[in-house]
Amino acid sequence: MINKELEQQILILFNSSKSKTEGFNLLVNTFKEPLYFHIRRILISHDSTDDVLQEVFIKCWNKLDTFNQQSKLFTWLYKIAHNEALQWLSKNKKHIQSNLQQINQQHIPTTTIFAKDAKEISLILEKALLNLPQKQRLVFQYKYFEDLSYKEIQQITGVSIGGLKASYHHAVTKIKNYLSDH
Amino acid sequence: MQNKKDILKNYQDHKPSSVYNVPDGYFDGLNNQIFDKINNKSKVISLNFLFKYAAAIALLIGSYFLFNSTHSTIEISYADLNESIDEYMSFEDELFYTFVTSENDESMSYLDVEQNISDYLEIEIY
Repeated sequence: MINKELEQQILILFNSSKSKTEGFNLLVNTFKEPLYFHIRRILISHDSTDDVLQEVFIKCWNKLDTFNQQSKLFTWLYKIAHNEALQWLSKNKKHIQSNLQQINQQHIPTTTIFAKDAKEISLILEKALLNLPQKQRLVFQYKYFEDLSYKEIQQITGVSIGGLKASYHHAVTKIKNYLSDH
Repeated sequence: MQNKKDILKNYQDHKPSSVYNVPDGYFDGLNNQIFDKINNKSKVISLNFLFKYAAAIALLIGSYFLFNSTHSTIEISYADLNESIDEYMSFEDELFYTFVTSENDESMSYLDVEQNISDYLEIEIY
């Protein structure tokens, strides 16, 4: 989670013509990794994630001066990333299927969870995520990995809080079942 | 059941970078890549603006000349107009008269279909 002071610093720097580039660099440095992995979980492949991430930051450069600060900066950025990633998905449905297969083909040793190393545990969780419907997967990502509140997720996705809670509940149940089976 | 409930806690230290490989140095060079794209796009946008301005100016100049030139050519008197219409109509009448009076001439022979078919059969088939 990004603190409010850092967001304010980014906005002050960006809104001054002298320090606009500095502000933008600070924004990119702050958000590039969390946004990258957020988009990567949706699109799976690095190349498509790279394209979408750069497009997100370019949109941010063009629109940040119109940001009215009614929401947090990271919510605003995640909303752009969310829309860009879903737009990419709708255009490249066949591509995403082959990417999903690549992840699913990665081998997980058949030991118990206590004997697995961190990478193996991570892989199981990512595979469990990939088995979820897109909506549930996204809600789980925002809630579990990004630790966002339902209100923030609502601002990003536009889905009602009731709908988000139901999706998260279904996602957690399915993931727990998947994890206990592996 | 308790174990199943808390199973997700085992994944608290999960790091996506351990599953999704990122090319070496990718994040270091990302800022420059984004700035390159922003600069390229702004060049394209400024060129687009130039083209738009040039097109607008050309349109203004063109419409100015068109407006002026149409005014100078439209000026024609009713007398001249009537005269040219009469001349055209008399020519048309002449053509029509020629057509009507030539009904029995050879020029109308193509209308005699049966005769033409029998001629064709006689020449080409028999």
